[in-house]
Amino acid sequence: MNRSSLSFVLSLSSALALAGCCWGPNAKDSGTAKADAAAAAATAQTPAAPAWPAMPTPGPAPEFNVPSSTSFTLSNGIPVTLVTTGAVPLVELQLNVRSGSAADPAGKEGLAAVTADMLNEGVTGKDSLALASALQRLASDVSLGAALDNSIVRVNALEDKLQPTLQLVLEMLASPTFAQADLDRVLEDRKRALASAKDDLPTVGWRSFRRLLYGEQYMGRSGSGTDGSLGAIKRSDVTAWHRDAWTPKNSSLVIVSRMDQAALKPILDATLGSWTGKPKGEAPKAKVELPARKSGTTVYWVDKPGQSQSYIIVGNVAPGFDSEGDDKRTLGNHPIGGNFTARINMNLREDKGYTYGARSGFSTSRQGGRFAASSSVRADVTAESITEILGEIRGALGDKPVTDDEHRRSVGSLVQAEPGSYERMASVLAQFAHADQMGYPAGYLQGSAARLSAIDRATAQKAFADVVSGDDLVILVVGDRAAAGPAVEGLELGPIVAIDDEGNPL
Amino acid sequence: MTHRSHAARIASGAAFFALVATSPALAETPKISIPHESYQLDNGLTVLLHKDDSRPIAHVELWYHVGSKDEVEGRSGFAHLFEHLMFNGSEHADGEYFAPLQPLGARINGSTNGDRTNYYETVPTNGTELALWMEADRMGFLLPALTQEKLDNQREVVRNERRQRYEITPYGEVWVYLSEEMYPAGHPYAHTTIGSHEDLEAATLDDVKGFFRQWYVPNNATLVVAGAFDTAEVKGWIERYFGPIPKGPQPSPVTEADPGTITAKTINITDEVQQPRVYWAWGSPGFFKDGDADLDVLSMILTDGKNSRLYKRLVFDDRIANDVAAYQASAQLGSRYIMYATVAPGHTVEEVQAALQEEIDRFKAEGATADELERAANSWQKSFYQRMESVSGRGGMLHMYKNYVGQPDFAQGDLQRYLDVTLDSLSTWSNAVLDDSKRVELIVRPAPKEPAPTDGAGSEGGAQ
Repeated sequence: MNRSSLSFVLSLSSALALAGCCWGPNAKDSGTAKADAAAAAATAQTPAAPAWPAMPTPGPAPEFNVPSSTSFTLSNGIPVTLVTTGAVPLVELQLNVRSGSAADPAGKEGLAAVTADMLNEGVTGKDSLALASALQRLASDVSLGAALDNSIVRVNALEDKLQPTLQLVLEMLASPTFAQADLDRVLEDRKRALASAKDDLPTVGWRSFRRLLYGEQYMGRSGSGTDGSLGAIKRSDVTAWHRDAWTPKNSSLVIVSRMDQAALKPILDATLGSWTGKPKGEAPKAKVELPARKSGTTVYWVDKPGQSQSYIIVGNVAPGFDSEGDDKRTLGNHPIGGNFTARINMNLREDKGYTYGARSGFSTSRQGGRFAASSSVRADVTAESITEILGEIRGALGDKPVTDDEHRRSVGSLVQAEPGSYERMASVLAQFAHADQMGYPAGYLQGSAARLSAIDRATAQKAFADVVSGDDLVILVVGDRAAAGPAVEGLELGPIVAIDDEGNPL
Repeated sequence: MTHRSHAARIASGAAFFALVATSPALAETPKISIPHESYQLDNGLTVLLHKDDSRPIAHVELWYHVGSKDEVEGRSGFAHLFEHLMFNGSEHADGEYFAPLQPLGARINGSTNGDRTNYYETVPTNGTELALWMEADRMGFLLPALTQEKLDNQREVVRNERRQRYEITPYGEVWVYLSEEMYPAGHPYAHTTIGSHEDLEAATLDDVKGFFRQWYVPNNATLVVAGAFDTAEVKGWIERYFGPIPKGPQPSPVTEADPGTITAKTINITDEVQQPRVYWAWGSPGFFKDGDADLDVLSMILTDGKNSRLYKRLVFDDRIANDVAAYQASAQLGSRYIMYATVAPGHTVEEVQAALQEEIDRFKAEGATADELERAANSWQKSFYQRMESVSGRGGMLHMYKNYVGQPDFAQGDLQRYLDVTLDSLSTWSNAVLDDSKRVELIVRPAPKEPAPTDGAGSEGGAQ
């Protein structure tokens, strides 16, 4: 084939495609128009060369149903959500305990996390190494940790090793030894990790940012503790937290397996179902009062001399999860900064070349959240990058509202991603375990596509504008103050407040 | 997938795992397999189709058989910079590559490493034809849409990727040294995939055009479609969109290189970090060559879990290190075996060096235990199940096996490499590779940064 003549023909059809294009499932007519134009061009210019086929127009989305779950209760009362699906002989499982690091006692931040660590450090009859060895022989992964509102056990096991694996998990829940020597080691490991975390600009940035928004409560507190708070944690604190928080009454279980309830329940009842807690007090819960949005724009700065990029975060307090507003806000943000082709990335990366990537989004927990745009930018364009981020947020709220086309593309992007989000068993677990933690109403995951599809542009935009204001934005920079600070001062956003690695004013 | 409460006790598995689905209690470990059809278009494009209709998604992935090993002097980082330009429009879709596909919820990206460059889209099945058209358009018609402005923009994006992933990342710059110091000058791996700022700045439009014409021809590419499709229909699309792209002169990617002789040395560098870190590295057998799997198993025995040799000694018992890791960085022309440990506060580089030396010497003298070998084998078995769960996982495996072994469905053969590791073979390979006289040592100490070095490393993420 003669390449040059083919190229010539195609450049004509491309001009037409650009003129009349709208992507996606709604662009039903453009494919035909382009094909006709290309055919006409081919006929007119080079009758011998076949036309390059026009860009195909995708048809309607294939039918996909988010898996349903079944619910049942173990003999000790633990509610179970089971999703029977999967193509390989694995079981993915998560135990959610409804007390997390947000409920750490004042001055003992990190206690929920340390207690979770300690459950993996030895049980009656097996020390830390023997326990690890037993799990490894089964090729089972068991990890424990604390999130804001939950403590978590995550299990990944071969199907035929599920029962012995859960027997070991039961021992961890019911008869941990909490040896002082292990606690000393765990606390020291956590202090070491805190120190090393100061090397990483985004880690420093997000920790400080949450602190600036929430102060001494909820996500403002460090779930991994501080040097001081870790130093204050005693063995008696760990045993008390375990006794009151880690109980069947305060827990729920989510499982993804090829097995159904009839096959699984006997295994679960013989293991986790025989766990009995003996709480003396109420399970620890965080009392959260959502802080007011910070008013005005203030620039905070964590100085990291010599770094070739600055990490920028711009945002404010946002609400916690609610089943009415969450989808609308997510959709409202999506064209602004929630995907690769969203405005903030197109501007800072694909137009200006300031960064490798830029985004915005909501982080939503049960009792509070935050909105933030963030990017790691070349140090000498820190001020310009802040200006562009502010411009995109303010523009979307003002004279550059999201268009109908942008909105349609975002609905498609979120809705049609569903089949891929439920492909692997671990992904299915992630969805259902999150639903369990957030307290999604029944059918919420299964109804997601229909709900998103029904939200119109104005509704999404209003939901975004209800919780984000272009006038009220906390701006945080982690980077070289001497190199990038003067230009940022020149933006006249207000005085720059110097803070330390943990968000404390210097 | 819909609710399965009325289905059999065990929900049915996909085709590649049929044996387990019918007999879950089977004691014998079933064979794993990725059934596929393989053929070639007249222009030399190799096509691999793996059909799995269990979910309405398909994974389209192209490998171009060119990586940073094939770059010319003075253009380090070019293969990866080029990959970025593949996302900025081709003649009939002259805009962001993501734009038409993103409204379908597609997962889209590309990556470049020393050996190859890949591009993929995982789409709901209504997007399969569009993904194929998009890939074909940039394979056939990238250059008419190329501009100086796009090159200048992506050059800046890539330089920012370098800053983000190697310069501000703690210990990130060690990869520059582990490339330059472990291969003789001029070796295809002696520079890193991210490249140097200087070379990235030097890249011209003519370089882009020349690179495209030399390497991005259908006869230097492999296409995989894995997932739900009608076979006749997908073959029709592939012929229609890729078929007209003309064959090019057959490129010759580098397939072998003299590794030279590494003699023991120590390099001292500094970084903006809290704690010193010690890296030890050795030259090792290439990807899928004899010994490659043994060294993966060795890594598990040395640093996977509390009972692993190095973790238990350095972190758990002696408390002289914050962490320790070891791994075989497998690559076509020859691999590197790398280990590192971060010195704990109050302890010294010398303590860490001594403990590493003692444990490695002990392992070389005494070998592994049967228990360690069994634990490793069980872990590998499970990891293969996890990799094979998704169509993107299976599609990527077909590519990898075809490229490195010449046999796309090598899944069982690959797993078997790990099951076949013995106490004897482990001993042989650990003694052969972990040779003190050929060890490159790199010590990172905390200090203000020195001027940025000229290079970066490893596998580069692509457009996203």
